Amino acid sequence: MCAQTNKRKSAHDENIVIERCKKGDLSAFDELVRRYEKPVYNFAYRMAGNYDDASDIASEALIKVFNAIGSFRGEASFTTWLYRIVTNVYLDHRKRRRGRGDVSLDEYLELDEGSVPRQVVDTAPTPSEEFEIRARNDVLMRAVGELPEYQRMMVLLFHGQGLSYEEIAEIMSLPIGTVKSRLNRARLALREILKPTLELFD
Amino acid sequence: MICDEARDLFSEYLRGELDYGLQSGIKDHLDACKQCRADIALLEQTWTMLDEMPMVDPPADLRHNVVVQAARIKFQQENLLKPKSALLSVIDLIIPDKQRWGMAAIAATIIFALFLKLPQTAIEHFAGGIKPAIQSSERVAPIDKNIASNTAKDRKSAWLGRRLARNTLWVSVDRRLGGNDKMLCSVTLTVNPEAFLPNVGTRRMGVKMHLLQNSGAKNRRLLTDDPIWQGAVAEGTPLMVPVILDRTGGPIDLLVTWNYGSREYSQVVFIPSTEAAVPDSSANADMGDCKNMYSFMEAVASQYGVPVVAGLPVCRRSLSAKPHGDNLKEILGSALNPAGLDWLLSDGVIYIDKALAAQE
Repeated sequence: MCAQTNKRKSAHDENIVIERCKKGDLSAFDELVRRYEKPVYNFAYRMAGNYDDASDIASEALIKVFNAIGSFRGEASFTTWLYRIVTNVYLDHRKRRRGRGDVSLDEYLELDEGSVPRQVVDTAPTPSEEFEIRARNDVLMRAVGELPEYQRMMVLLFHGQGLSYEEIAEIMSLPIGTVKSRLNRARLALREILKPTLELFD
Repeated sequence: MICDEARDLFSEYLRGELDYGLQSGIKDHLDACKQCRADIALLEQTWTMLDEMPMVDPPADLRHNVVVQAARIKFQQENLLKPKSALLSVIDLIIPDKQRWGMAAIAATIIFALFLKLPQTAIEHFAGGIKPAIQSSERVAPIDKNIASNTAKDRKSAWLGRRLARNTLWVSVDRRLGGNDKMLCSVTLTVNPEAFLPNVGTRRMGVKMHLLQNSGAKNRRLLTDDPIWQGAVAEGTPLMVPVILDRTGGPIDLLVTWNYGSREYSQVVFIPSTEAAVPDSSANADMGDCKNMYSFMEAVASQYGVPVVAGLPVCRRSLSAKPHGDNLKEILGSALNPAGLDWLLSDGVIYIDKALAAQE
């Protein structure tokens, strides 16, 4: 009951912020960015697989939100509307990237003495969690990265961002049934990828 | 039910989304099939891991950059049809880019000096207690009395000034340490690079900050006559100022005033208090440390002119003058180490945070 009231209250607060944003109020936009930068950045990071692209995608998407907020009529939820923008920006970004010859993190470098895995400097803020949690997350992220793009997008929207089937269906312009079955397939695929390593962390 | 049929429905089964018949059908199947039991356990584990997917922190300057860009867009949209003023066009022609900054700096110094000497400012007006209430954050207090005259031209120019007031300086507050009643926050001041008055050739502003007792719109008073901070902010170098708020005695916010052109603008900056304290901050939630740290920081800031930022580095471009090397480090060490605070001196800014100590 209380949680529900809080939820309604925060939705009400959000509507006020959005309305102020529509009038071009920068401090309201600042507030909106403060609320959503983290989930948007995380989604972009998981999709793009590196911090640089994630920054570009998140910034571009948030700026698009500022430019387009006048056209947001509240027919869908704000989150749905936001993630539709973010996914579109990601897809555009990927299209532009395609021609540029990205390197795969899993690719092996050929040296005279044989081949070694590519090492990439991790510029992320280093979390202070214990090794095991880190290792476990690494395995999970690698597995999510192996999923086909649309499945990955759905998994991240559903599990990472906590959106509902209905919201994802709206964002990706797909029937709910398709979202459900693809998500199902994605989870099963993940399970297969994770199977050998999950036992390690039992 | 055969294994393949059951497996297709595992996700829905785990969420309890199936109708009673199917739900119990799968349960029966699971009771009987060892392989499927193992499969669904693995799926449940995968699901839990996905739900607990860790979040990474976005870059510290992402929000700032996005808002700056948005402001730029807004300003461009609003001024799309406005031609460049004749004066600026002439400046473009006669003064090369490199020299312009030097001249701008000289002009800024003169203007800033004038600003400090002007006796009748909005602050004194408010602090004098004649009109304690500050009506809105857009209030413009013109220093030039003529602007208040009533010709159409003056009204237009007053309106232009009013509109620009919100654009010329951005004030953003990042709360970093402490609890709801007492907190230490960093206030970032940024000059909007796109905002300018047509007849002012500089992008540098004199800024003052006052603590404001803020019990509703009609009951706002300055806490002290003296500003808690005053200084100049130039375009391209956002400045971060540490501010301590002690709200145990009632609601307190900030009043930021700045002068630009020949006028003074003021803005009430509300500092939210509903958020929880930053959990991994190295400061204790009780403000004993914070208070000591702040008085210490105030001393450092005034003695060395070094901004102190508690928390993550939000902006590393905040200072042009460098602190005085080892001496400052010694002072910092002796004050902050016993309080259990880790710190980092980098690019003329002192950062205080547990995680940053590793980089030193």
